[in-house]
Amino acid sequence: MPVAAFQATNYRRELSLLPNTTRAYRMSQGTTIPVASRTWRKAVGLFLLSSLLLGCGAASYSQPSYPADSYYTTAEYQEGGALPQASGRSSARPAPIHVAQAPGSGSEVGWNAQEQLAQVPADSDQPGAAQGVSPTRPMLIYTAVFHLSVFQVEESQRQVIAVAEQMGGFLFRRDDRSVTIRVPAQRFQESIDRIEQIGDVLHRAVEVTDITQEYIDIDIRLRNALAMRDRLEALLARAETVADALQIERELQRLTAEIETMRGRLRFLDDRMAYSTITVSFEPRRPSSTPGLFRLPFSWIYELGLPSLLNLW
Amino acid sequence: MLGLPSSRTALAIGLCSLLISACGHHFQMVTPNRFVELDDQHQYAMRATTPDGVVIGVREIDNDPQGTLEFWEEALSNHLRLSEGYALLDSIEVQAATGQSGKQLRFGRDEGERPYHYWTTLFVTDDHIFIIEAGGQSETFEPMQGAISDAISTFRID
Repeated sequence: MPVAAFQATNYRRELSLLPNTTRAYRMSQGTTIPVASRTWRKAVGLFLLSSLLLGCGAASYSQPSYPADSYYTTAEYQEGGALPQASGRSSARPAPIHVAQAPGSGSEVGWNAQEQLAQVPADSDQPGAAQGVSPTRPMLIYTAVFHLSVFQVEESQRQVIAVAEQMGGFLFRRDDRSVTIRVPAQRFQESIDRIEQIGDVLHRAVEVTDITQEYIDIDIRLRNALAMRDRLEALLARAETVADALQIERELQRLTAEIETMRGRLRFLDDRMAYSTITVSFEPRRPSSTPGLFRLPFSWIYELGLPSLLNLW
Repeated sequence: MLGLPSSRTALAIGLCSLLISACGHHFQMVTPNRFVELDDQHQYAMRATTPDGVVIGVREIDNDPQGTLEFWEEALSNHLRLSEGYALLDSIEVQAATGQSGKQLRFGRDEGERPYHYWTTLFVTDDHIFIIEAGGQSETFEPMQGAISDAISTFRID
């Protein structure tokens, strides 16, 4: 039963389904408290304490090791090394789904980071269910920024968007001077190759971020939290007093919020891994924004250009 | 005493020739058809325009410190591309009417929402750098490209 559905009414309904011995307590009166409930409180307290400790400490795993040739950095690319075609992970995977289904649904796209983790049932209530999780390859997020010359900007923007569509991606953001697209990670390299053909590339920066450790951390914490939630729900069903039940419920609410936060973060990472982000800007990088930039000591060079030529006054 | 007038004359002639040399230019170029040459163009040794805003101008700059054609071409291209955002559309070899080799860099750039063309043609001698600039809005510049190229082919370096 989803934790989010734990409303006060449900709670009352569940209490009414408990065996007669535990139903001796009636919420409307709230006066009869079985002697056995004191033992229950202690048990609940101990359980919560141990659960909290488990949640903090169980997320241990051995640091994964990757083959040297499977790891790419920005520096390598800038020195002329080729970015991965991601063939290793894409060849056996289905083609990306249509653009319209992609935003915000990383788990629905062709390649999902969850596949990289050893399959452990998310709803397992086995203590330490997260143990044994290990990635089979690094989890990488690709981003690129291009500065193209300021010529036929509108037409160039249209071409960039066309590249996104041809690659199975989508337009993410657009304004007068820049356009941001998202393309399937498998077609990242192909996309940037095509974008470089659109105009005069003044500057490019490609960044690869390894999120393997963060992803595994969150995944383990999520699995532990789900296991703890199951146990709390079971405990709630057996609670004998309102105080016990409220205490468990408060813990459930806190846990639910944590679970949703972790799920949201995993969805975000899934999405960023599945779709690379490419921003194409049609503004030169102004020297003023990069202090210390080399400047030639020939003033006439800085007077060249259309504004000077065409101003006849 | 007889020598004085001749000294004065020689000095006067010397100064006069110096002024002509300083004020004069070391090139000649035929003004293209449909262009009108303008006077007193400050930083330009010569500038001419069409009625609809295609402009051609020539700068004559001392080659000091002395650089080669390749040096100035790269300096100019880097500045216009990287700092000003001009798109380098083409780079072609050209030759002056007097035989010197030069380089023509053809740029494009949007001003406002409109695309413009901007050509810079570079000739370099030991003493001078000659930059022939031509530019205008694409729709008016493109019909004038032939006339501009013809004018550049008449460029003579003295």
